[in-house]
Amino acid sequence: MEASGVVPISLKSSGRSRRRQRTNYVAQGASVFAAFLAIGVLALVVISVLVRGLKAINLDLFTKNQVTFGETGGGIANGLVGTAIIVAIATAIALPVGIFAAIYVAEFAGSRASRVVRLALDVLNGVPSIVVGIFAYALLVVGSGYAAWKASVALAIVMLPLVARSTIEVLRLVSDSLRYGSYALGISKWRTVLFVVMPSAIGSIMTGATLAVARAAGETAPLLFTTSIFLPNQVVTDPSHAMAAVPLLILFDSESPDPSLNNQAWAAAFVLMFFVLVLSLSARYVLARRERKLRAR
Amino acid sequence: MTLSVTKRTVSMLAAAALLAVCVAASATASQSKHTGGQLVGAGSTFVQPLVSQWQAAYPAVNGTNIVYQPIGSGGGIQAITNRTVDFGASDAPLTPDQVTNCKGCIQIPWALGGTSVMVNLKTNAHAPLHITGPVLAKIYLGQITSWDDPAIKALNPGISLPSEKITPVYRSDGSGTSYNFTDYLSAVSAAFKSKVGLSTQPPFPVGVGGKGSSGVAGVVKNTAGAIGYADIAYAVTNHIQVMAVRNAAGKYTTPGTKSITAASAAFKNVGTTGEVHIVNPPKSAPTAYPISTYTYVILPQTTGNAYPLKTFIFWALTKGQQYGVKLRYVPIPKPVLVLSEKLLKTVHS
Repeated sequence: MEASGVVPISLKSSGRSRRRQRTNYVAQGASVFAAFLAIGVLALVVISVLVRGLKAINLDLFTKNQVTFGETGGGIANGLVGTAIIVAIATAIALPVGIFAAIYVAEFAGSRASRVVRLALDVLNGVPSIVVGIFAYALLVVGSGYAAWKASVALAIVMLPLVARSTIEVLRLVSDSLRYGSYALGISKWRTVLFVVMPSAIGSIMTGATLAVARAAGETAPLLFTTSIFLPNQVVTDPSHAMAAVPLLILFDSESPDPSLNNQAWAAAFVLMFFVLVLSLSARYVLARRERKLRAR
Repeated sequence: MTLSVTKRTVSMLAAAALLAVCVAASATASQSKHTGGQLVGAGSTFVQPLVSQWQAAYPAVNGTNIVYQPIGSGGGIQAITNRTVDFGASDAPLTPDQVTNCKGCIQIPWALGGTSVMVNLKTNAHAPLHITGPVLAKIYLGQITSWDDPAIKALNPGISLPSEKITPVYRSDGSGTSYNFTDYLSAVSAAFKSKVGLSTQPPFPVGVGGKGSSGVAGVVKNTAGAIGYADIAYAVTNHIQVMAVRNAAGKYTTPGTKSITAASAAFKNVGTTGEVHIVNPPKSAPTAYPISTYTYVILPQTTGNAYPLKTFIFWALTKGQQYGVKLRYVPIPKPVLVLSEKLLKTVHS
């Protein structure tokens, strides 16, 4: 080809193409920066809580109760026990309700009913926990006083949509061929759900429930409304009395003028964060593996 | 599907269902408020140091646990109004509106203490710095803003006061200590009375807030140049220096057993409602601390818990008073004690 009189084409971009390239660099750079910022924020939170809390992390933190006015030292043992009991009761309430609701939506409901229930669950999931707290306060606390089981009811409301939604997703992943196989053998629907579908999904359901537990353990607002007036220096195990809980101790200790209690608040924050992170990370890992397995089937 | 898996699933579901039933059952069973001897209270942070002494001592008396959360006097009044607690505690007497809302609540003076003026300031002084009510009012009105202001210098001859900004600290929550403090400042400064006035949540034009007495103590302790107010026990336990406040007789006093006793003794007429004011005592009490206050327990006159509640309050009014001395609470004087016991007798089931 003769190129007489034709300007040689440069491989360097120019004009519009160059502008597009620049835009691309800027946009890509900004999103990479944003992604690292997200990681950076997490790292900053974890590190700052760790650095400040480390001073107060010792055996006393886990074995001793809170101190009363004027004393220093002590630990968060009563809070740890309280959180464990409150969350356990909340799980006992939310788990059966959530799972049965999910079974209804995934296995029995028609498409319209299922849409309505799922929408309700999503809305419930979006209700701020402070609203759940004041609801529980008005319904259960006013006129009769604070108690740990009332906190559990409030936390169960927070957990319910999480359990139900994750269970619905898992049940959807269970292959229909399993169900058809069961029907083909003349097995009724309820038996199919209970003895064929559920066994293959139960592991993933439990992992989903674990995520809900992790979420509930860190909720503070519902506790403020339902169990914030408690005996400070004793482990309480009766759910009809108010109990200390780790998030509440973080709040109260952080407001103390005593620096050692401030450190204890950081240590408690670290313990709570560690528990929640480990619980949700391991649950997510297990869940991802199980879902891959279910899909492969 | 193996049989064992099926069995496990069924038993798991059954267990979950059983647990839910148990929880529901125990929940209904525990609807009745008080099991296992426990009295629940909330409110005043002013009186909390004393109540925490009682919490430690009272179970040995008759096995009842005292649960108390220092949420502020405003919160305490709200809590007893909503009947979420057995007793409220407030350093501010109930307003007529609050009495109406609380549906038959009574206030009983159950402790006596002093509101200290705490400062965070490095000077060459070896004794508490001097202050007067009017100067304190000007500080909280934002009219005196620096520690080397001539008005403060004049009260502290020979002390080198730094040219440091004054940060007034107030209570961010509804507080009986704020009520007591503004009660005093309103009594000594007409300007303060008209601009801010007597309130549990006074609208101070300057300063920073702290939640609860411990919050105020914390802010004062961590802020150079800060000034704040809280029950003297908070200053003592947190090692915060307090100021000596000039009383009507012209003497500078700090809150202590003698000065608070002198303030309460200067007021002979205690009335019948339980509301007793003892700020700014007259000249006839030269040793009196001018920002002293009674603090009240608020009880519903009709309560299912009348017996344990009355037993505890009676103990607090009598034997319980001695536990306050080391924290600089003063045993309530005879005329008020007689009044308190009379009021307590009106509580019934």
